[in-house]
Amino acid sequence: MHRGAGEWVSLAGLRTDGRRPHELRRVHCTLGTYSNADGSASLKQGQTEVLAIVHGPHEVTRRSEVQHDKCIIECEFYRTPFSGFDRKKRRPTDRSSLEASLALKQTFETAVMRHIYPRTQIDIQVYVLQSDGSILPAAINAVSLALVDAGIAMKEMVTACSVALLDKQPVLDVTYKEQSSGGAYMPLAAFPIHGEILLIQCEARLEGERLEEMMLTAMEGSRQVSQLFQTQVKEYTRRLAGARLAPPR
Amino acid sequence: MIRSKTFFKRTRRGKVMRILEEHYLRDDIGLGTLHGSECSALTPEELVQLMEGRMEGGLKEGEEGGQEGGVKKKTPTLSILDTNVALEQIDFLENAEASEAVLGVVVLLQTVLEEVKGNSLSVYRRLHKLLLDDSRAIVFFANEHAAEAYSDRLPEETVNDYKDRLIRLAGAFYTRQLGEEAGRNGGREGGREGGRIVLVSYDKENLRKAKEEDVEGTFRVEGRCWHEGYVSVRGIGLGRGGAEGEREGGKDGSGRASVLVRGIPHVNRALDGDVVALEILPKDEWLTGQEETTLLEDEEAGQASREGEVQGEGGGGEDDMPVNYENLIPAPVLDTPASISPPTSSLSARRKPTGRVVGVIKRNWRAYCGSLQASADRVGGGGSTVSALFVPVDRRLPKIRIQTRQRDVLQDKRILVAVDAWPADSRYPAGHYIKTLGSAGDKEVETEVLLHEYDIPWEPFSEKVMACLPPSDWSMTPENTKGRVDLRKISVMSIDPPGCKDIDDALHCTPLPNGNFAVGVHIADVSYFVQPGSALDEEAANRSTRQGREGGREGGREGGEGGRTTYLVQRRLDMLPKLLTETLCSLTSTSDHFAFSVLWELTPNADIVSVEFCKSIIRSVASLSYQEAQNIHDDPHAQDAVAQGIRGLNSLAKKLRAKRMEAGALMLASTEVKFVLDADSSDPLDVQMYQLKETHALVEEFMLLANITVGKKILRHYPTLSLLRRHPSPSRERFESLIAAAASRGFSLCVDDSSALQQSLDASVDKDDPNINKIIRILATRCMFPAQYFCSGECSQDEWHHYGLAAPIYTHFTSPIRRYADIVVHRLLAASIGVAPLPEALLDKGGMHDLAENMNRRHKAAQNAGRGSTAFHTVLFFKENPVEAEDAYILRILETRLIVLVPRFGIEGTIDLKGLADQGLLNRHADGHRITCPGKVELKVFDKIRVGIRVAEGKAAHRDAVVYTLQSPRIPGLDVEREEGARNVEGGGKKRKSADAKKK
Repeated sequence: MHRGAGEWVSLAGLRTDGRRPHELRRVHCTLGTYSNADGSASLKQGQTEVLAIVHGPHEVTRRSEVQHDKCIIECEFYRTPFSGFDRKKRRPTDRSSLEASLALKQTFETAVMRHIYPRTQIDIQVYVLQSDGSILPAAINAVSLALVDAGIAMKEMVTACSVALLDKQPVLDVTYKEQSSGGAYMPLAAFPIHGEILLIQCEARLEGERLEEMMLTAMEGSRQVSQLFQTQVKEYTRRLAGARLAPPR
Repeated sequence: MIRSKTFFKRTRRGKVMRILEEHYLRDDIGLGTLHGSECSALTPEELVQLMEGRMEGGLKEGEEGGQEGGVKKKTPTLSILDTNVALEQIDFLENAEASEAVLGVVVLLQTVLEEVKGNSLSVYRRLHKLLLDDSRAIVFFANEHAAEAYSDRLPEETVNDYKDRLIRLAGAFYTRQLGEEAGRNGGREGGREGGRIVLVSYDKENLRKAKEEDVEGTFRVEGRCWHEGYVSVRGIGLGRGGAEGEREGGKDGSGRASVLVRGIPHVNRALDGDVVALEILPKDEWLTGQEETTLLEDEEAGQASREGEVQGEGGGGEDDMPVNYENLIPAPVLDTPASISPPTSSLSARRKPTGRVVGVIKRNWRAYCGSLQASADRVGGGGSTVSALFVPVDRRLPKIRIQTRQRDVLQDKRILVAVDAWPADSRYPAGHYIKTLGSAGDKEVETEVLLHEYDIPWEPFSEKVMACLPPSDWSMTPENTKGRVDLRKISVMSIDPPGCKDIDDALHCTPLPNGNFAVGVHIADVSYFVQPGSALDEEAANRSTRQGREGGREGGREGGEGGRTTYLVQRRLDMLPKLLTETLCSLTSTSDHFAFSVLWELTPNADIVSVEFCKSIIRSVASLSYQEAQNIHDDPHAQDAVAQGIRGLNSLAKKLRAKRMEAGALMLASTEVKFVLDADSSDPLDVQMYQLKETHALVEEFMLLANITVGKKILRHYPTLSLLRRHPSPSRERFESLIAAAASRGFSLCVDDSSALQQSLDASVDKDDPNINKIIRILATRCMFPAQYFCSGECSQDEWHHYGLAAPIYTHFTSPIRRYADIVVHRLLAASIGVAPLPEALLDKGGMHDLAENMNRRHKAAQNAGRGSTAFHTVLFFKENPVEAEDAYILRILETRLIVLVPRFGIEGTIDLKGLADQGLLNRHADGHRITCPGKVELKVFDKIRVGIRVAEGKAAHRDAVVYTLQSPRIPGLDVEREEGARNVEGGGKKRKSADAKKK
């Protein structure tokens, strides 16, 4: 069976950068990159590069916002001026950034076991260092890792992945070029093991069955990410433990 | 594999954009896809099947015109289209019948499709439709994502050139893949070719480039300059145009061609042994042999002066730096036709394929031995880091620049240096110091240097190996002697050099009642103790040969074959542990031994009546030295079994020898040197050539007979798996200069076959001077190719011939203690007489090939190391015992040098006449065999002169060198003293070099 075999997925079943539709880009992540924070992680997903920093749990800065049974989560989402294809200064208050930080906040309010940390606050900052599409999923993934680094309890590690409908078939981990092609673009964050969806955004018009297909594909993508993260986190932990056991120099 | 593409692009409005993209290269897209079935990548087999299917289903008319004879059989074809072809011939492509008949299976590349799309959307759509048509054999190949067919754009390449190159790369990829497939299927398809692959293009330039695409091979420096060498490549790339004559069929006979690379810019920082990518220069830039010879000398001189300037290390005589270290490497100068033939030879005027290194694919760097070059600017006191030039022992390498804080300490040492990098703007590679071996000039240290340089394993045997040995009190029991023939009642004797501890052969000869003789050769049964596959076996296979002082015995042995275990003058490296070589396997007369016996019945005329092979037990009655054997033979009173045996053997040996000579075996000579060493200091006391006795020849004849007999036997049972030894016929070209030189003395040499050569050599006798004949023989020996081991399955039958021995089949059976080949042959023989199964490893042709290769390599390394050792000891000897005047013969006359041989010592050296040549006082005759010097002195090839020999201290890198000076006839203007320490030093190093070309 051959589907469209058009502009975005070639006859050989390859996308413009040489991936197959269900393949992720190369993911490279590092935990504990930023030593001044309680937790941090940098994530490179293809050419998209994101740094996430977590402070807390700490005392709530504005007294009025204290919640007695759980912690509050503050998110800030910065797109560095040099991250895009043109040099442009963006304020953290511009619409897309606000939207992203809100999405992050909602996602992690669900994911973090907030009742463990009553009367505290967790600050999350995300810096986009380079963007080549799928920024929000990358940010979610990075924050997830940073929270792990900070030792904050989550119900499950959240992973995210984007999906787009190109040449009538869903493709995973969308690049900037693909994202701006006009096909339906949909980031999705989930608990990959429980199979619970935490976030899904879609601004395009879709047929119902397509949505189903895309969601399943994106879940598969987030599962792939999760597998990768698990090995990375384990290795990082082992290294930390090893460093602790090593005799002082 | 991932390629990141980050680049800046200007938009139409003049805005600069930063484009971030990734480009993934895959290895799972095979050879493309058919009909858009996106997941199933074509494998080479499938593609070949497809091509064949199309061929049968296609048109029956022979499109190829007259090429096919009566039977119309088309080659399955695969066509890769260029963009312009796809664009302009879309109508033709749409015609299924016609395009399939002509093009066969069509491959459309991603690159092409995208270019088409950019040019004409309608053609793109039509192509697209074709690609999805199930009835057509049109393959889509995403070449830009195939790891093996992709390349990055070069910095200065235009987009168009880049696309064209991508198309060519894809073509090369298909050729490679299908070529392999065709190779694999060769047998099944009855030798038919897998098909042909065509790149269809309008663009002539593109086609030209496709044919000239870079070729790959290993860079080998031959000769003495690091910046001149050869790359042996498969005959591709040269195939076009006129490479017909250039193929060197000789050296390894695999249809590979040697491409000359010369000059520092062309060698482009490749080192000896690197795998390089090569660009073949256009034909009009190819160098002829003639240019080569002149260039060689010019360049050497040129480089010398340049180097002096670059270093700025003033001081007298500095300009001879690059060449005045002694050559411990017997680089095969005579191997290159250019240097063997005088410039007048018509053959040498032929242009050779010449190339240029465009990239190094694989570095083959190792740690190099050598010393620091003495430098003039002594910075007082160590401590500060200075850069120093390191001069490797191996002449084929350039100097290496290292940074060191302890230059003064290292100055007189032999050190190991590793190369780190060779920056493009640097004349020398940069390296760093690894360790010190010891003081330069020290015997032990220099030997270690040799072992290191020739990669000879010399560590003691490991515990694992020692664990494979039988217990030291091992003895024969009825169990382990089962199946052996008891030959203890026969009086077997061994004849070896005095003091030989590892006796691996013994003989017997008894008269039979019918007047014939029962003759036996008994070889130590080493294979009984070395179990195949054991650690001991693997170690022995790796070492392959023994290096030892007593190797001398083999010097005269096997005559033309010269099956000589080479030796280091004062050190011995065994192939097997001592317990085996000296106790269990050595066929001493003190105990019973296991042997592998070959038993003949010979008529008094030495014709073979019957032959038998068996594993046996023998008891030697006498371990004789050559001299003792000779004495017994000559003593009329000795009438015991031993004496009768020796006499019987001797008479038979003479007849065998006569027969061999009749068949055309060669009697060659070599300049083998023997040192008499001081027992305590092991300083050389005397140098002499080997003396041969009649009993040498006796043993040799029977060993040859045994080797040939065994060779025939194993070949009959294992026609494709036998380990044999061959010696290719020499090519006439190699003899050209010798024939010409001999002709100048009135001798005519005929090299048509070995017996003609032998006869003409025999005839080349100067009545007044027997040495002349010997010299011609020595030179003839050097024109031979080396003999080599091979597996009978890998060569055709007519290549098995052993030229020197004039034997159609030859192998090595008689020295299992020293050579691993013999152990293999023992196993083969044991299997063919049914006493033991053939080990698995020997059933594999590929494995046998590797084994033979390793043995050849080790053998050569051992020889070279032996020569290096000899050269070093020669220096030691002449340092202590300079010679005032000694007879010598002129071997060759070069523009500025004479190459002479000193028969008394068997050494060869160079007399430099450069001083005279510079003043224009020399007149070398056009034929290259005569030279007129001032004072009306005329020197001819083979002239007898007298030379003085002494050792001059080498300036560079502590290489003392033997210097030869012309003492008689006196030539005015050739001031002997003036040369002190100046340029002539090079000579000493040259003396053994050409022996490499010597057959063996």
